Amino acid sequence: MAAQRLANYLKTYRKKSGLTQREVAYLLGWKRGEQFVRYEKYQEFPTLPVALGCQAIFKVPVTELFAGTNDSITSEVGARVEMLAAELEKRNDHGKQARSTARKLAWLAAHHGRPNSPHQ
Amino acid sequence: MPSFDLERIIAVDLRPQSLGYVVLEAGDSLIDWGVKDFPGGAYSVRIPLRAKVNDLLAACVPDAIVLRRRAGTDAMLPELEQAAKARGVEVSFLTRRTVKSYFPGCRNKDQIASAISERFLDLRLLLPPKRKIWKKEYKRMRIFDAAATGIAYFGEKQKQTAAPFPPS
Repeated sequence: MAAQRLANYLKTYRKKSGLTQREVAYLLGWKRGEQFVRYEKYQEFPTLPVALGCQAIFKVPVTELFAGTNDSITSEVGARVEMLAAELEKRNDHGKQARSTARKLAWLAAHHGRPNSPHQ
Repeated sequence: MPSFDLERIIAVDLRPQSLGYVVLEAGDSLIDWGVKDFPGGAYSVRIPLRAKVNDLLAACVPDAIVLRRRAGTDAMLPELEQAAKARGVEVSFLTRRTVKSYFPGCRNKDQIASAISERFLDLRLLLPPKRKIWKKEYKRMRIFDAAATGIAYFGEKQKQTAAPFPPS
């Protein structure tokens, strides 16, 4: 069975660093470690400042710290990109609108690996 | 869309009153480790084995639990297997001989533990000193026993996938 990556690896990196939950909470500017425990147990999603704080503490990119979350968001966005591109390709625009659509499709092809569309 | 073909396991060293565990991902990545106690009698704890195993399974979401059969743990195995079954986790057993075969040149547990600490540097600080024969085993040795089982499990898996063709 192919497993998905864990939602986050905060506990792994904290244990590797040897820091306690309380010490990490202190580094994040909190008085107690309970909130960090909730993040470690995947009970809550951290806010962007907390995620960036964790990145600064462990010196690990956010995408690695929150690998599973990153994977699921990436795949959701990828699916929506496909849907948007399919919708754009269906359009029968003319003139300026057609050029705009072609530009969007070219950007999606370049950044999301979609094949070039006939609009170009 | 990203796709990851990685297997995550919990390797467990089950003893009558405690268990050592390591969580390994794709064979070479150490995710978590520790010892959980559940003594009985006068020192019995409020949280039983099954609850602790459930917590562990919820935190690590493994594909398999890997362990070695040990004397005195037969009564606990059904509990562990039930907890695993409830979450659709496979339970694999390895023999002592199989585990030992992945550590050639290691004559005893201390040497195996040293070899493991060289492989997983995060465990280096937990490496217990060599046990004197009149002393009981250090509790943290359970982590190394579990890690040895995990390494052997991935070794066996690799063996199964690496040799599909008979030699010509």
